[in-house]
Amino acid sequence: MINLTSVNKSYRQGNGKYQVLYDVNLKVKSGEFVAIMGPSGSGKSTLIDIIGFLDQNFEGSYIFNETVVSDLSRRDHAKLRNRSVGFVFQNFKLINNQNVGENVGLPLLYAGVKRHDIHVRVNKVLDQVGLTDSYYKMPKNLSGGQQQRVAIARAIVAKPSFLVADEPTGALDSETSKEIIKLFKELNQNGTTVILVTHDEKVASQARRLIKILDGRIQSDEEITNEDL
Amino acid sequence: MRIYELFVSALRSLWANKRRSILTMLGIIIGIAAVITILSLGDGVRIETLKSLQADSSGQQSSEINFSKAYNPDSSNEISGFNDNDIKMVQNNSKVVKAKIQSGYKGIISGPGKINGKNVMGIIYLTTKPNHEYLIAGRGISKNDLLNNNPVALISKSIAKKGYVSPKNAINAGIELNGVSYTIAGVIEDEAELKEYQNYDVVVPKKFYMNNGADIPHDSMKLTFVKGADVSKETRAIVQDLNKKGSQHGNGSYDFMDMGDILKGASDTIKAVTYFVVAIASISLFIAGIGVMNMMYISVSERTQEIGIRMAVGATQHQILWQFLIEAIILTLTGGMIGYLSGIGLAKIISSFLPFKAIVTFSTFLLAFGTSTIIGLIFGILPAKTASNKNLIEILR
Repeated sequence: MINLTSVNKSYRQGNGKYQVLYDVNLKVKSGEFVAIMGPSGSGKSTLIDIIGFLDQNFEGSYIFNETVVSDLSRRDHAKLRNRSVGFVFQNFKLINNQNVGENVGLPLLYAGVKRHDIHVRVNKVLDQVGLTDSYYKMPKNLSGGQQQRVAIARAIVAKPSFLVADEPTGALDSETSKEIIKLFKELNQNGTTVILVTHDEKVASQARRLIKILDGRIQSDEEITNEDL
Repeated sequence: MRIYELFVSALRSLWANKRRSILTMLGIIIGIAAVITILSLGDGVRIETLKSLQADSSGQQSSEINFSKAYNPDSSNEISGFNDNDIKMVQNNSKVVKAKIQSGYKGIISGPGKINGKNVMGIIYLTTKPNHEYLIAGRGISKNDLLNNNPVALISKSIAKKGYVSPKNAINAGIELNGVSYTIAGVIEDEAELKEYQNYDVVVPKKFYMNNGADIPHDSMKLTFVKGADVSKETRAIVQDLNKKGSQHGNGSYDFMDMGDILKGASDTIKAVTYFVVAIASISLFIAGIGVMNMMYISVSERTQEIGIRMAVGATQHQILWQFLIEAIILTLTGGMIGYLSGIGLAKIISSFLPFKAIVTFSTFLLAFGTSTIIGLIFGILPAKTASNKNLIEILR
């Protein structure tokens, strides 16, 4: 599904260039649960931005389901983002003056779904993430864990091909983190591809495949076989 | 994304900053209200002026055709320029409601005369009352003269001199007016005038003058038209007809005072003044527009996170651009409509203290609608562009 071939990414800094990713090759099949691990500044966030269609500025080729992502116009790139990926951020990124339901329904709004259908779908997804009857609550009245559930609901509401999570437990305590990871696992078991970035071993160990990244290069890429829960 | 949703979300974010939105709107409201008030009052003045120039006191549209006799030394008599046939002809025009022959006589007519064998053209004041004004020699026309139908006349100093060398000699001498002899009772100043604008040099009793075969010439025709007729055009056509087929077309010419040109001039002047004042009032609209721009820039920078989130879930640049643009337009359009209504209200209130009515035309509505939309577009596009051009990665980090 995801096929990155020799992806390089560098930022301009003054007169010089600062390279973040070196020759990254990565393939992710549908249904996988991948954890990308690395210390701060290793380039893992940059990589996930590219995979999650947030960043189009890179060298190399990214083919997603036979679509050459780097060739897309900005508009088509946005459309692909809308339809094919769900993004979960470390600090939730909810619109604070809109209620939970509207936050979750946002991707469907941009996909042009009818208001009534959005409402129905949003309630269903809120059930799925364990937030039944929260449609009209405001994000600021929810706990961190609940806010992240809202963000996850928003990420999966449009039934994307895969889910990308950038440090989804970074702002949560360990108990809540466990619940969120559990939720990701459930989603994965129901067939959703999940790619998450973390620097937390415990979180990474829950995935089925672990990619370690350091200084912009992939160090290791291995299956995880432990099945402890 | 549906356009309807764009409007909903724009309204919500304006509502979220009620105070700021209303204050920004206030600028537009004041600007549009000022422009609409001035325009409606200006239109009111213009229409009122046109009406009063075009219609008589009863509000009817009318015009007047005059006949002027060509100079003809052989025929000394005044002739009537119009007769019944002329009226019939004029009434064939379907726009004419009423045609009436009238005399241009306002107490003074001109008539040929002879004094001591010399021809004179006298401007004759036909008096119905005793007259002693401007007298320099002899006596005036007395009550008895009027009662007894005495053929007496007062003549001016210069006519007296022409006939009898000195005013004194002229007293009790004779003058022939319209073929009838009068006794010169007195001599008046050359500067004698009636109501300060009509000079005259002969005064005779009206009754005697009329009884002796003199005719007050009917030299004008008053036409009354149906409402809404182009008076100037119709009258011109009638005058042309009269000049071809009128009863006296051989002896003179028919013409009329074309009010059209005067009306147009007056109307243009009022319009120009109105537009000038509107132009000044529009400065406030410009300032209000800058206020909108300012608010939109603040809004964009405050909502950077929101823009990032929207883009991250798949909003295109276009959709972000339109979201902010529509916010700006809703702001100015709502302001414009409120301003339009307050402008009308204001104009009505003001005109209730003035002798004319404010006139609200549909075009002023379109103007308010169009102007406020355009202000929203012009002053909203730059902030909206700023919003849509933000770098997604930079916002989200």
